[in-house]
Amino acid sequence: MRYEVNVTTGKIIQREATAEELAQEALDRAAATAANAERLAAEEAAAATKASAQAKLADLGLTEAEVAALVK
Amino acid sequence: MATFTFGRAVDIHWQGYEVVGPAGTVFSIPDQLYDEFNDDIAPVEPTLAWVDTNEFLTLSNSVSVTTLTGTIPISVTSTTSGKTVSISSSTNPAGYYLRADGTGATTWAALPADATGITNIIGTSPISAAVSGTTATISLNANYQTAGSYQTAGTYVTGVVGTSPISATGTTAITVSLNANYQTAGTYVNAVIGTSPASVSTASGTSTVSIVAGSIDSTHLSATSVGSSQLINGSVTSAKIGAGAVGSAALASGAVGSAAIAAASVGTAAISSGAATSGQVLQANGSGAVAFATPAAGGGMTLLATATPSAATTVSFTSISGDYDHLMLVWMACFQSSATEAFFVRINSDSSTAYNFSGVFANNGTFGANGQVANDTGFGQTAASVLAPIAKTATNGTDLTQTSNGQMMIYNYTNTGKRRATWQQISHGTATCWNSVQGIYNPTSGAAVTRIDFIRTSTQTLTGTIYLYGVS
Repeated sequence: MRYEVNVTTGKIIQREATAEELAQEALDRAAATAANAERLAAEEAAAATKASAQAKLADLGLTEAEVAALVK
Repeated sequence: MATFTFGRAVDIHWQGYEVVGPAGTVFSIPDQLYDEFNDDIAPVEPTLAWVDTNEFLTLSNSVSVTTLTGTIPISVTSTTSGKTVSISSSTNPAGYYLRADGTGATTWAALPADATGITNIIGTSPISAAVSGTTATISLNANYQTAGSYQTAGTYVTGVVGTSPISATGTTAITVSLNANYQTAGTYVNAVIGTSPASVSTASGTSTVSIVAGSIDSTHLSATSVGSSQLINGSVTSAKIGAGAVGSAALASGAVGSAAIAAASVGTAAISSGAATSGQVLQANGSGAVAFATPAAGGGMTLLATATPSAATTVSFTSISGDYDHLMLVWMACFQSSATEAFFVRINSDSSTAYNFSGVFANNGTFGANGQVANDTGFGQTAASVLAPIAKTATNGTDLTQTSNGQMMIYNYTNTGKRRATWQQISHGTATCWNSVQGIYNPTSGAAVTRIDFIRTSTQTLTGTIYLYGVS
């Protein structure tokens, strides 16, 4: 149900979306889903890169506190 | 019998009758044969002369009656004129009259003692008397009375003096009316001044002066003639004060204090704005007075609309006027039916890639790495759940800390160029999420912002409250 407030008249209308609006919603939803998936993948890749870097630093003899200070 | 003669000797035989004799002989036949005999004989014997054509009637008319009875009026039928019926009495004295005795008969009777006539009407004026039964009414036309001729001094009215038009009406009680227009000041009633209709009536030695209600106006009252000592306390009410009668000139300085004004007696309708224009307010001038003045221009927020969606798929503000400098959206206690989705903002239904934004966000205290989005189709769309104006929330509103609360400013929203926007929010979905974002809306057409939509990133719904303010 769409909720619309006419600011000039103060009237509030609640109605179902039109076919055109539903089509636009579908496009928006697809774009958001794709962007979110992309963002999640990027976050996951960044997290993996971070973990790898932390492991390599640990292999070099840095303590966890020293690694945490470098990678935060 | 009908009788007749002839002017010569005749020898006529008619209907069994023998009419024979010398001239002048008187013959007779039954009255009923007169017409027939005359029709037959007169044409052939012109000397026929009738002595009497209806002897019975003739004899009847000649009868002298000694007793005539009947019901008055008594009439006599006769073919001969001049018959008279006379009623007389030789035994009753003069003046007696025939009187019905109530049984259908009449008797001679003397006149009653009270009908012997009127003896005490004196004078020559037109006097008329009418008698009805035993009652006699005498009418005397007052128009014909001559002063002093009939009324006796002291009997009626003795105190009317003067030559002004004085009129009197009445019979046993006389009312004397004196037209005030003709009075001479000091002569009669000198306390009644003016031209208003006034009347004086006298009854039993008491004079009454009547003044028509409303006849005394300001022209009859000299200045200062009515002071506070002439007015009973409380006698002057609002009903006695005409509209507009009391102006500032009628009120002495300090005469109207707060004690003279009842609580709530002066409403807004009683305050005249004079030449003040719409929107002006009463303003103290620092010298003890007030005047209408235009409020000083300055910043301020005006609540334009409030949306309270409940499980709405989209929330829209439409027909936004261009009367302000900026727009501000404030939302509180907004939650979605999904804990991982968001609502982003789109302007003027523009789904082109005109939105760029960047900011910082944190999930559960950890800052996110992706803080910039270019060429998006709405503020926060493709950065759903982290940079969106309404980011991840709980799925119920029972705990305010788990809902989205934030605000968005859209600057110079009537500008035809780029529009800047900033927004911040804090919410709680699958993890606590807060963000602070700055964005640019760069439409291809430079129309002012007249519509704002909160659009979902998936199929969830939104519940909560969103305010739209105009900022000056």
